[in-house]
Amino acid sequence: MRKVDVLVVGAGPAGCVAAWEAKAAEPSVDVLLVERDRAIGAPVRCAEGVGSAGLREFMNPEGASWVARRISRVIFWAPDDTEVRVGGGDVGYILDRTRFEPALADEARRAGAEVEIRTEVTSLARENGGWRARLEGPRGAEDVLAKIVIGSDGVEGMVGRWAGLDTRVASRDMESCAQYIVSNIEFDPDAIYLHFADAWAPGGYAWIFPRGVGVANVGLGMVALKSDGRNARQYLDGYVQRYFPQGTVTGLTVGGVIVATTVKRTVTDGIILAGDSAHMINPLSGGGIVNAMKAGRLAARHAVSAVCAGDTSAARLQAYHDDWMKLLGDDHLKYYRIKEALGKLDDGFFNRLARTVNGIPLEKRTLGRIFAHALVHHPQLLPVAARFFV
Amino acid sequence: MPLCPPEAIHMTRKGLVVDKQACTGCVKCIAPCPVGALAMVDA
Repeated sequence: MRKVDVLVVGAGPAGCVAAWEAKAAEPSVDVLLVERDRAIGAPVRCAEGVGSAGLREFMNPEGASWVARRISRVIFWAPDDTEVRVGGGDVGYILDRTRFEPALADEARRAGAEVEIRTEVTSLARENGGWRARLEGPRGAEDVLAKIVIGSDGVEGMVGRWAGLDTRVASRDMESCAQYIVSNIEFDPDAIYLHFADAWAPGGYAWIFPRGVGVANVGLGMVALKSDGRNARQYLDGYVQRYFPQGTVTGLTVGGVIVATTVKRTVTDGIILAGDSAHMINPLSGGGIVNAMKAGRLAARHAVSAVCAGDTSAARLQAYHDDWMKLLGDDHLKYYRIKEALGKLDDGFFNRLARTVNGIPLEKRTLGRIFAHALVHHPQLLPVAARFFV
Repeated sequence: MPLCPPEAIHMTRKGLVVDKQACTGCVKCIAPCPVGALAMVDA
């Protein structure tokens, strides 16, 4: 039976960075990264947007083949289509994830990690202080004994379940997402658009993320419990028909995004969860790519440290959970409370808010100033602000 | 309530798998499917 120090399950952003960072932290540690799908980075199941600062902690986007578009503005659309422009400068990037994740995996491979695609972990069992994983891949079934397993297996992850961690998602915290690639449409190609309206995306928002001039990811995420009976794709069909009737749809992506807070336990004996599998997604924005990479890096460092110390117990790995909560997890608890409070405000409120914000000169329109201005003019927001500090 | 209280659904390389022994038929999984691909049928 093959033996490895660290088995990383799932080659998304969290898994690729975990494998890369583990080898970078300690080259003598054996790292195996396995991916269930035929190709790393595919199928794409996300809108592919990332903030610039977070991305640059890991990869240099200048001239990279995996960048679809650089973003320098954010445009909010109120329910009545009132437009609010914010930002200017190095806001973020729209990635081509079919190239981005392979680039991350390549970093892991170059650092010395083994990377295997079309290889699915189908079971996990405790053995000799480690975990015996059953791998099924092109060469058939094989058992691997790992000292520690990093579960970066995404929204539908099984590593956590097999290890006895509670990774279940409440229905109200699962957004159903659908996205088309739409070409031959007119919009600002340097901006991302976020459209908040219960009629188009109940409990979530619609987005337009440019892939180039005249081509964009047009999608939406919605909470099914708030739906009028239609599914996400049906809502999206209505949206595209309304806003881009002349556009040509060339691709479809669907998926689920967990808009909750980090699971209560991300570790147990010999197990660390990182990324979507541990619900490490910003519950306000639904963004999780950079979060996943940060979690992967943290998971790698704790995993390597534990392996080198010969102690992979839950008690030792708890430091990973604590560090994650300090890094982003505690912020997500606040964002979740804000999301809940905002969910109680109606479309009319957001229409009024948009008009208020447009009273601020564009060059002074930072998110902090918008929030302060909004509090003065819309006292309904005070409970939202209060929740941020509770 | 969790999306799938008995954890009867999981993804494999070959697609979505429903453990018919574990499924209680609560139908909480049906509405969140972005393309309406899930439905209850007579066994």
